[in-house]
Amino acid sequence: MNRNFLTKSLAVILAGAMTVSMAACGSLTTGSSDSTGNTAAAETAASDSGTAVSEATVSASSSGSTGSLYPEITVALPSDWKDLSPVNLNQDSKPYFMFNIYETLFDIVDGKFVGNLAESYTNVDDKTMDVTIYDCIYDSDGNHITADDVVNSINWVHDSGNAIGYDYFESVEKKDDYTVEFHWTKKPMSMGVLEQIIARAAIFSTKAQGEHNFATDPVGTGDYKVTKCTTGSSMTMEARSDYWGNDPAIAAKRAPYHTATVQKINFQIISESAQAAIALETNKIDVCSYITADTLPEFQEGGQYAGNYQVIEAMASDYYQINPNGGSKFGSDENLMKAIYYALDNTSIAKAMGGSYIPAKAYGSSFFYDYDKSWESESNYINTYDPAKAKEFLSKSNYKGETLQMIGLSTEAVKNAMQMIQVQLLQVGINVNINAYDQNTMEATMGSKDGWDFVVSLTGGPSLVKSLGGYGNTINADNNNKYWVSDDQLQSLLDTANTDGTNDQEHLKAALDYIMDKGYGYVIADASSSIVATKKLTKMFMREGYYTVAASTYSNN
Amino acid sequence: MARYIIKRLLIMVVIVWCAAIVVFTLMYLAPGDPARILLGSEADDNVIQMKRVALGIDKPYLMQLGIFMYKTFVKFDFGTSWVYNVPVMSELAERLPRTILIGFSAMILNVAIGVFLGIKAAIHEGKWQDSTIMIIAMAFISAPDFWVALMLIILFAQKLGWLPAYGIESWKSYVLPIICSCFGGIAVNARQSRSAMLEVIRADYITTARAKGQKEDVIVRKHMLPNALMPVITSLGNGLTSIVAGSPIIETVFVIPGVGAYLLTGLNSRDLPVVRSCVVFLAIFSSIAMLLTDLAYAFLDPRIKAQYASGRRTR
Repeated sequence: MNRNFLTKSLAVILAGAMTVSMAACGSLTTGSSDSTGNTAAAETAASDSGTAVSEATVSASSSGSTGSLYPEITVALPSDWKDLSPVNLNQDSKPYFMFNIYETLFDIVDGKFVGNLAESYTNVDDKTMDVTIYDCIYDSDGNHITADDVVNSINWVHDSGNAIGYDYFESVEKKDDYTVEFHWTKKPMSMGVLEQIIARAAIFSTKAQGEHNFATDPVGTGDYKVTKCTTGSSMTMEARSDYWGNDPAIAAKRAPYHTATVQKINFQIISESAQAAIALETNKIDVCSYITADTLPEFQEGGQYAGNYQVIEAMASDYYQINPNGGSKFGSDENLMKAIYYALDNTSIAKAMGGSYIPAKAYGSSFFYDYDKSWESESNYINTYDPAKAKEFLSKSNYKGETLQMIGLSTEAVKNAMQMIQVQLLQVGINVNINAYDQNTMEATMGSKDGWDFVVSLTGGPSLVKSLGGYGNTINADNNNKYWVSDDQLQSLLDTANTDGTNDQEHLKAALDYIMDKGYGYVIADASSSIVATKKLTKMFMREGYYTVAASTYSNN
Repeated sequence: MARYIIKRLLIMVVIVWCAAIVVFTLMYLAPGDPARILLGSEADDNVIQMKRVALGIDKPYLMQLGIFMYKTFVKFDFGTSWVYNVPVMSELAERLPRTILIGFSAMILNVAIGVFLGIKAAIHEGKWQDSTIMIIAMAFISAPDFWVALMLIILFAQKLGWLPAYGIESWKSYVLPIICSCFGGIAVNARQSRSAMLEVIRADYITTARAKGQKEDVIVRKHMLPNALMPVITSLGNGLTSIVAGSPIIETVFVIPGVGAYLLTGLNSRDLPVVRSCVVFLAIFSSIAMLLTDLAYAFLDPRIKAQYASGRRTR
């Protein structure tokens, strides 16, 4: 071999290795995803005190902290937030803190839109809306937020391929320094359909975006600033003394979760619940919401660690349900699905799931403001366990003893539920195979009509009507929903339940009755969480079903 | 020898290219649309398509492969994670020291303790020391990592309170992960060095050395050990790769943001830039580790060195 060639080759390899190592000190970029949601009953405007947000009150008597901030709290998180960029605000562990770092134009409080950065808004015509923001908004870097920043923030989410729920969005432009004008593609049936644009898109400074990588070093207008972040391990955020929303006159108009109650909050990722229990026992953390049911008694009254901790039961904005695959032979068999529903005893399934799951009695969860408890007294396949009726429906179905494919998340709760479902269905002669997947594989599996007949999943949202968004005919090119069903009548009922003027319980009930009449879904249990928290915490603040330590109250004694 | 190293480096380039093509193809064929996984099942087709364009996965296979190879090997641009939104190399540079610290410390411990135990077992073959060491080795190799980790945490973090159970706040945080990581290696090295020692223990040159009246520890150190170390070196070469790859189990249990956890998250979330870059990086490192292993053979074994020398003469 030519010696020169060999020398040059070696030089190239060495140069390559050096460049690779230097690239390790490279720069950063952005871009990611967002969660979805359609519709919402929509009342509007800047609110009153907006205190309709739920609070899990603790038995300990206390007035909570008022003037001074509680010094420090450490919270365990089960999963990595991965990216602190202003997208996916409701994904992974982010809901616990993202709305304290970034802020949106509006907040949603019990289905109502409450001004956040927005001071006021005007519907100019059916397809134009002007939003005026406060003129005193500054981010944690001291940048003044103006209409230009609002335009840039909205467009950035739209252009980076994260525009879920932007169906109505045509454009946004600056009108004056603090007013932007939104142009819609069609008349919004309610403000709820604009949720992703006006209540989930974080507004940030264009200048700060150019100077920081928000993925690890976010700069927002919220009441907290991230002071330390190690992706995959821990994060610390501290209350901003220069927070623009501290002005009492402004605070009175906004939702109550923008007033910091803790000076310093540490978020520590501890993925194993056994590890988290040890961390509680050794006083390393103050709050954890995923301690397993068998360990919880140690922190409850009379337990070994009850001196320092309490267990707070809080309903979540999610519920576990079964949905058939409309694209499969069995999932589209209405009689077979009703046979399955009547064969299930959701009380025993909820018990098998562990923790504190509450078996459903009607469609939805009593967590939602638009859920009506009286629905539970009506007989339906959710609150009726009737194997005889199940066999009756089974005889009318096309089922001939084949094995159905049930899919679900590989979490303990879902796996336990699926095992119980398998046993109960076997008792009426239905064979089911369990397929437990991680979230991403399940998304991929559900992206095709093949390979599954029904799914056990977790669904939620800020309201019951919004949690039904997955039934809408909008997901793929064939106009199917995420369960491979295309039903114009259901779409019409959902639209009515989401439109201003008809977004009431009567129309919501009509949509729910139709869903159950067609066998499109079966609710197993309402999700709730048992939060182990320090006894210093006197009132746990819940924001859309997520506990928010930054707005909870504490005793300094 | 220099010619041999150059030849191996050139082969290494081909190996790394092949690894890059294979991992690209496997991830391309893996089920699940990354755009849908990133955006969730409720995103409609239009948004998914926009995301696919933004990620560059709307293009045909060959075009995507070409872009990937060009960026990786010509521009040395390993891309930006779709999930973390941070350049892969910068994230690797941050995580690698933690993974290497755990892996390298564990390797030193498992080699030192494992070889020592192996030698002790071999020179006391059939006696109680041999049996005890082999029972310990069996126990170490049988205990699953996550179980050992939890037991160590309960003992040292919960009961004794000596060490932290998780995190990366101080040097103490790394003690339990290192101990936990070295258990398996100790067992493997003890068993491997014992059997290698037993092979040479009755060799003629050992008998000769004993007949010449050499002390037993000199025989072990100078005559037995160099010959018995070859299989251990092979396993060390393989172990070097896992030092860099990390252990997702250990990193998850002890909440160490290392390379193993990064790669695992990348795989689960179809974060293709992360998976591809990590595999290419590991391929480069493995090739270098294998080359170093082969060179170590030559350094330790005069017969192999002689082969290189004779190879040079024949040319």
